[in-house]
Amino acid sequence: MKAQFFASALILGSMGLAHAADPVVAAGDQAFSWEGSYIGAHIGYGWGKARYDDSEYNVNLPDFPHSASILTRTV
Amino acid sequence: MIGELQFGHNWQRGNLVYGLEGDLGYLNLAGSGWPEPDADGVPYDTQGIAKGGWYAGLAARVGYAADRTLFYVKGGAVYSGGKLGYVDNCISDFIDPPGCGPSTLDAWDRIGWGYQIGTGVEHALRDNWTVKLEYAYLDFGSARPSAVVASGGEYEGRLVHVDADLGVHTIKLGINYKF
Repeated sequence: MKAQFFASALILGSMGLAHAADPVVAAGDQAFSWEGSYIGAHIGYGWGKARYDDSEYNVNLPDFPHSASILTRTV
Repeated sequence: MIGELQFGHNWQRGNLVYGLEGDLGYLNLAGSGWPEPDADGVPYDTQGIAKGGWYAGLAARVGYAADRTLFYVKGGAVYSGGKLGYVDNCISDFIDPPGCGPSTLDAWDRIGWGYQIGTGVEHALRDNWTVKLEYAYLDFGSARPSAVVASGGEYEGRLVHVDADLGVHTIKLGINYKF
């Protein structure tokens, strides 16, 4: 997660620099405009991990607690 | 499979594009698993279960537009109506099957709120139609399945809680109509 935050910060940071260095688009230039509202649809795939810790469930039992890490994915 | 509707608004200053974006859809997660056996190699009779459900997200988005191609990052909140469970439905005498005791547990909690961060690229095929590819990480933090131990045993009738954390990586392909 830390790495992702760092990467995001890096992208944002370099974006700011690139923006500052770019010439302002002249009036009348035919560049595409992203301004406006949009609506659409997505499909995709997801995967991840759920981690369980039952230390409260099994408090004071000698061979516990257990913890489980389970894989999850979209079906 | 993830399927969702998306809506949003962009503002643009030069190459800088920023906006707000909402998602509403289905995040059909599934998974289950058992803890490791204990130090004596005895298995455990309670398993973790994840079940997906509907999903909603709201994010701020900021990007760099190279004419018709937009590179962006986003971050915001997510909510999932899915559930995390911790379930013991095996009743025995610990001997056969090994580790299976007299009590049962059926503890569930909603996945609930979390945060998302993501990055992607979007391209305008035509003036009103864009396609996009996005990666996002959804961190739903902690849920707390709770239930009363049932069916007998030393802890019957006691209310117990389990901590359950969920994180999900997603890759999505989308098409948007701009108006």
